Amino acid sequence: MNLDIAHYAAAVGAALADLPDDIRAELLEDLPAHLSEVAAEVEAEGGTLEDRLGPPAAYAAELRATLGPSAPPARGARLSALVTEAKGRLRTTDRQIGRIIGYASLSEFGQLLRPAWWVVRGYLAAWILCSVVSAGNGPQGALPRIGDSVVGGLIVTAALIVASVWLGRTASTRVKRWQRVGAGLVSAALVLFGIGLLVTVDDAATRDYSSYQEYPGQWVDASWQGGGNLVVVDSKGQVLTQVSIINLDSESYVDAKIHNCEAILAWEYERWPVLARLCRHQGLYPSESPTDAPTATTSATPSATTTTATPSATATASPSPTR
Amino acid sequence: MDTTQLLKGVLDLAVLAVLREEDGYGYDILRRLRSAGLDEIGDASVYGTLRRLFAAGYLTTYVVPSEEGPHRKYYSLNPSGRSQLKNGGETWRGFAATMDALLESR
Repeated sequence: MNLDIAHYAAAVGAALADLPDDIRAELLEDLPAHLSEVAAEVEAEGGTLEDRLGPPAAYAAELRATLGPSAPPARGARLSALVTEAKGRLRTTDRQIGRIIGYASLSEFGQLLRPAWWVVRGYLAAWILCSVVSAGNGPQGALPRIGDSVVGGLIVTAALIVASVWLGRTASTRVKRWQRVGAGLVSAALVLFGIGLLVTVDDAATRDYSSYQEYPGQWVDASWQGGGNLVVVDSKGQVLTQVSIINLDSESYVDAKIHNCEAILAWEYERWPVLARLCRHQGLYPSESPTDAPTATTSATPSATTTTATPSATATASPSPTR
Repeated sequence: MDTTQLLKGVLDLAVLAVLREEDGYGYDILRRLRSAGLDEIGDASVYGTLRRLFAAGYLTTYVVPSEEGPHRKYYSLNPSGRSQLKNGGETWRGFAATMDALLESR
């Protein structure tokens, strides 16, 4: 009998599903308890709940009637009105924007772009696949790589683009609603990912990495014993000024001349082309006449340190130190 | 004329009226209304009306355990419900008198 009650109450609740939540909850709150009271009476008199009360739908209709004429309109009705209105507005905007770009509507223009999207989708999928497959095996650039093989990445990319176009051409005709929703979500995620990828690649492309960044890996001078002429660069290849090198083992300054781009003479650039290139990269190459090059910039201003630590864009703003 | 249509307008008053003398639980109230002559009244109408009158603050409830079967939720008129019954009764009597007079004159 309890199962009957639960079923009956659930069926009544389902028939009232369009009511606003608070009103519906209020109406149904006591229903199972009430039905079990009724069931006890009905059992005593013989018969089933449904015999006595009629079908749940009829019970629900009667229950709805007790809300009176002031009952708020069904939530479904209000919602569908809102949806209709929003759709109408969207269509208008669609046409208005379309007119600006010379098409009947923006969505018509979008239809034309769909094959292009299929290609981009394939590329993005390939990028994700490649970075998952070769996780940790070298960085991924704009071109997908399998491990560090660009060719492998391109093969994967080509395959996935073909698959994506095929999918776009065949699947667009007969799909279920949930499949369309799912595909839409995946597409939205891909678009977001693609924008993120674009930003990352753009950032990497415009960041002014010095070409000397690879110095440590290429030119490790194992024979260096201390002393000599040195230049100290940071991780971006910026020449640091006002630095000293301390040997921790001997607890003393390394006996070497540490050069920078400021207090330096033209002959020094000539003697050490690497220094010249580093400084030119920072926009600090000396002017034509060697004597014009500043010679006494020993005062350690905080700004000097800041300038060298930031990418060269700031440094180039001042071709020669001001003080 | 279909009395169910008429009943809709006075269901509140009918339920309040059967609770005037004695508190009752849902099915009991239904039985009382039916035995008073409102045969066509349905359980859902009574249940829904009780919920609404309770929500409107005209009724108070309490639960009475029963030896066999489930606990019963009893409804009882509170002062606000009594005054609503009084006002509603007057309205009804005035309305009924008008209708009577109208029908008499035909």
